[in-house]
Amino acid sequence: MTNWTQATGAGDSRKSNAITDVACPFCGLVCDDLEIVRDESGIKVAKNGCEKAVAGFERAVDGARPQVDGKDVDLDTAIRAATELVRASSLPLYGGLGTDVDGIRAVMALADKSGGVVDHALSEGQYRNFRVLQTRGWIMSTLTEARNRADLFIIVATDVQKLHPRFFERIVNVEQSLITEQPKKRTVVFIGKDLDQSAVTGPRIGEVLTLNVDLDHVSDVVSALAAEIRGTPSTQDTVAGVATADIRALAERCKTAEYPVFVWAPPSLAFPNADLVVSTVSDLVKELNIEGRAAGLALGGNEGAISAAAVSSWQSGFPLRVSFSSGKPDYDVTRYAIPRMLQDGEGDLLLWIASFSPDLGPPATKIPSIVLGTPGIKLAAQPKVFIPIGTPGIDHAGRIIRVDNVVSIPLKDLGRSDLPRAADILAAIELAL
Amino acid sequence: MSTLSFTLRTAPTHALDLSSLLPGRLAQLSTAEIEKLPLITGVHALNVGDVFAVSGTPGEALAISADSTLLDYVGAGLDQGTITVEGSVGNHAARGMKGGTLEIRGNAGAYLASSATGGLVHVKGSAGDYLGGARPGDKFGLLGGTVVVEGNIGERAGERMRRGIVVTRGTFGAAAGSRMVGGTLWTEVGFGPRPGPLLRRGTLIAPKVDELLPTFADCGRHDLVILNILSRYVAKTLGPLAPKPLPPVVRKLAGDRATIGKGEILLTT
Amino acid sequence: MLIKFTGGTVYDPMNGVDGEVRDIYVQDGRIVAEPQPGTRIDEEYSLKGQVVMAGAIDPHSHIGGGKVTIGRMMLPEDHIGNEVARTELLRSGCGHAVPSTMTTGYRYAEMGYTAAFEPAMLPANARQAHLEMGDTPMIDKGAFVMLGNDDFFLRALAEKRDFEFIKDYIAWTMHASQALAVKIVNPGGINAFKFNQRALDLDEKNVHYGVTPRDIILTLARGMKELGVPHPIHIHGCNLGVPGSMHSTLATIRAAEGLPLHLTHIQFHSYGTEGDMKFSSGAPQIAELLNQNPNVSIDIGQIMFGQTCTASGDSMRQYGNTKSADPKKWVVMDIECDNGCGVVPMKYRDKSYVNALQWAIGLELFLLVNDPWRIFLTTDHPNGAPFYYYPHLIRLLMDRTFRNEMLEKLHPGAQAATILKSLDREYSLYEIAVMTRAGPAKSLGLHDRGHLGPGASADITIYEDLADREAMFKTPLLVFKSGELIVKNGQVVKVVAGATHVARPDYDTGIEKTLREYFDRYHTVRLDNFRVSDQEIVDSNCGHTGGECGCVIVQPTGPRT
Repeated sequence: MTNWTQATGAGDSRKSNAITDVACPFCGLVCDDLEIVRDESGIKVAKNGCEKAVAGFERAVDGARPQVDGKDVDLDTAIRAATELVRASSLPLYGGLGTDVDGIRAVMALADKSGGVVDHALSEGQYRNFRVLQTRGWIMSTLTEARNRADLFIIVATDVQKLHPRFFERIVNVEQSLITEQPKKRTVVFIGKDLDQSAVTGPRIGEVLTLNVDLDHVSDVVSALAAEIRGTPSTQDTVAGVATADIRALAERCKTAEYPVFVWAPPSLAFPNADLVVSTVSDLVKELNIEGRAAGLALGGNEGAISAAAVSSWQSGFPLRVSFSSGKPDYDVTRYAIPRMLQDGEGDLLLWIASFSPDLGPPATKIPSIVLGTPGIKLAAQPKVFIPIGTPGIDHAGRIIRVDNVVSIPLKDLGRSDLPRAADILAAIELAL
Repeated sequence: MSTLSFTLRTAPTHALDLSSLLPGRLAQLSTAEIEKLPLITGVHALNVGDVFAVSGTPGEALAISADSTLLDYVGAGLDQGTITVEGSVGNHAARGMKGGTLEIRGNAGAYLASSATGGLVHVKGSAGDYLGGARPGDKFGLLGGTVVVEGNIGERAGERMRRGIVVTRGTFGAAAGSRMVGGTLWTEVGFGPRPGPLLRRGTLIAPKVDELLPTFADCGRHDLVILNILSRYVAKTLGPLAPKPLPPVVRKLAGDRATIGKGEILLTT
Repeated sequence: MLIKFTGGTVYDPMNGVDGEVRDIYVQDGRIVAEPQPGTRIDEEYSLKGQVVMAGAIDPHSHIGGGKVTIGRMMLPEDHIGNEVARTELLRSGCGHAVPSTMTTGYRYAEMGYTAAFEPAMLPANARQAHLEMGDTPMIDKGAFVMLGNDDFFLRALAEKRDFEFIKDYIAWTMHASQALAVKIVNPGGINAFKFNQRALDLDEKNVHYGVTPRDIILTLARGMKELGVPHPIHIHGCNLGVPGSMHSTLATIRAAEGLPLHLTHIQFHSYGTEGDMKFSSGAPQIAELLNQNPNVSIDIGQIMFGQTCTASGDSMRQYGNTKSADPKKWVVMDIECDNGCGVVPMKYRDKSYVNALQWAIGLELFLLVNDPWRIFLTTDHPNGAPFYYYPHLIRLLMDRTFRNEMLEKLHPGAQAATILKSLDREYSLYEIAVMTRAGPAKSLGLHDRGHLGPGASADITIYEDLADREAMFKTPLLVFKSGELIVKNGQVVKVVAGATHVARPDYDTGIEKTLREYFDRYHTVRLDNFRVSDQEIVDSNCGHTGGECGCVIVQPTGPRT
């Protein structure tokens, strides 16, 4: 399999069995500065690995075999069985979609040909953002821009540390800025209770402030902040337990900062109608831009979710939740949400793809399923067909789009196993249909 | 009045698009032609005749006897005449409706009456989320006309709604009137938690609210002439479906100050 | 396999052929000289009375990259109702202003185009741009990489680094991003916007780096020339869309000091401030100066009426344009200490004075600039209009009566403010062939494209010679790509992949040491992961569209001086 990144002089230290500049596909940040060591015992993360990376890279995948009805079969037999199920299906659901760009391309081609529905396992979270993009739009930043330019980070209801263990290290507490030789310390403000602040420490970190509010009342505080920024101050002393004076002070900081960046991860906003918080934040960022500069920075995008939505958008026009049943892309965010479809008994075949985390198992369903999964994937029930697949960036090369929707990064083949690419299995099914 | 009847043969397994079943359109067609109209295209194409037994005489009225949440777009684009559904329907009923009457004697799914500009929708049961709400790709939600629901309404009713009236005998779910830019939501029971998030303009009327957003300001009690006009207007247009007239004096809450905040919640008790 | 195209009326400006009846021979995907008498002809197309041209080339069309996909995500309404069904041969898709990638490829080919070039590839987004172009079948592709707003470049300029160093950086970026040319968007303005500057004219300084757009333009113009890259620096100038922008444009042409420049979508930069509406045409002055400066080429960026979506790297000016957004939603981004973007949906109305005059200004420029070799036919897809308006635009240029009929439907104030009615010029088929084939190929350095001489790739379009030029150019009879029949009567009959064109000027690899340190220190991507490999492009072009393997074509560059 191709390795798309050239190992050139300075970065190459293969003699010591170390592979440098390795990109990690296990969260949306796609850190690409990992160093990996390979020997007989397997793969070890030698440098720059967070706990997610270590868990992902160092996991053993030996011995997984394709299965039909729980019995080991060879790969061709499994592909034939999967093809027959797709052929017999009148509405196949292509879910999970934890894969790389080529994997999604192959899903789209197969869904188009078989008249199926495409939806990613993390779409519900992503739609908290898409709903705002599709109605209001926004002003956004990207990782490198925020790393060098931001002087104020406002973390909105997101446990960034839990979701992206290296965010604060790589983006916030960085010693250098290309804007100035002596960068000022940065202020970090958390809106929300019990968010892990353990990594918010170091030479670049100045004040760390918290507006202590329960997750389900974050929208109240964000709304109050928007009102303060708009100059229509509140008459109440507190909002959802937070002193109005503190909210006002934050509004003032936002107005005087050179480049405040509002950070949220849509999957973390796990409360009803959370898209309205995204809408409020996006609008207040726009408001701040009338006089000064400010931007949003949306995180999340684990399990290849960003790649899935991007490829679906450029190939079909719509960011997932599309059905090809009519022969044309039919977009309906309510109708073609696969979790809802399964719950309401719509669709007659689930083809689930999860090549990164074994936790991304398919939901329990009564309809037959085909699982293209990383070995050890959590299965609620025995699928009709199981095909173990490689993880892009470990078992084969690939490409993945990073959380800021701008940068895409090549994933190396580290030679962990001979497990096939999801893209190749899907292409084989498509060809055989 | 001549009625054309559609009786569901078996429960559908795919979402069906019923937007072609409009009295004005079908009045021109023979039964054979009607039976050939597509409800789904593509690999698993189905025509009207595959799904429904068609009987009766084409005319001003159309009766659908079916009960499935997979029946989408019932009455979508309706501009004249009457459609009556014995049973429940799926999403997007009355989408883009311009006139006429759609009566659903069961429940309606999500996005009832999105981007409708006129006519009357009457739901005997309950209605789903985003009633009168904008779908992705719509500039606005409901643009005109009247929706009456006898049961409860789901969340986010009136999302980006611009004009028109939605009345319920039951409650509105959470975040009703979100990002609304005009029109009226009116309940005789009450709003669920936090109505009017990012409300720009428009009116929300209820005897009570479960929980108010902090960005709504209490403007005290007001004697609003407009309420009298509104009560008389709905009494005239809705007759027996009309809600009880509003009291002359109401408590007004203005917001949402997280945005331009020219909307209002009127509390009738 | 030898194919003969017999008796067509050939327009091949690169070889000086103006409407002559000629036979053309194709072997193994290339045009060949007339073979020895008696050589076996495997296939023959009799083209008597039909018009034969090389496949058309669009030198400026936003077909791939993040900002187009932001537009796609933001605008479901652009697609709903414009869905395209799958066929045995073709993938499903959708399309109006920001069509899906496959549909884009099919539509270009169905219009007789065999190449289109993405003019605004961000280095940070290059991989995705190539992925999207890889999913655009039928046509050849290529991209212009955006430089001049990135902090590395501006620091180098501010620190007055050696010019060879800057040239090495330009060349390295072209290699790393797999580019054919270099573009500068709002020179220094995207960067200045990040420091909260809201406008930046030609001689205004970036508050942080102290450099001016003039410095940036001249550096890049000289850089391209000395690197031997055929296409001159591709400039989206200062003050896009601003009344009075004509003065920046005139000053930019004068600033060139004889260096080659290409001014893109110049229509958006040709506005004066005269009249009650403080919005007027600067086309006559700009055309006059262009006619005197053979070192400057342009494309128009014609607007057409209707709904579209503007997508630009120009975050500064696009932020300014958000007040005209229709529908009222838009995205502006600051990107990777590299660039920016602004995606703003727009509806141009024929009853609007400003929009109607914009339409007229574009046409005035087309008709007032004398040399068709220096003016290319674009709508700046999708910014002025979607690319499939080209046949309509060609008719406007070739048919004065039709043009004046259209003009009469517009806002009366705009009719009074344009000299369009007084312009009698009608483009000839030869001039259209120059503007849509030979000119772009020559300017972009595509040595074997855009002409029908021996050695050229057999990209050939055959039209019926209809009086209605819109109908003629909308539905070609036959389109060949590398000698294969891909379109018949305006319908795709075979799906092919198309190649990616790049240019690779020489550079001293010593620059990588400096760049690697810079990336390690400031960036969030490693240098070696930033670079897009050939293999990625080849793989992208292969296997997803039912087409044949695409490849990377390295176009020749001149010697470095």
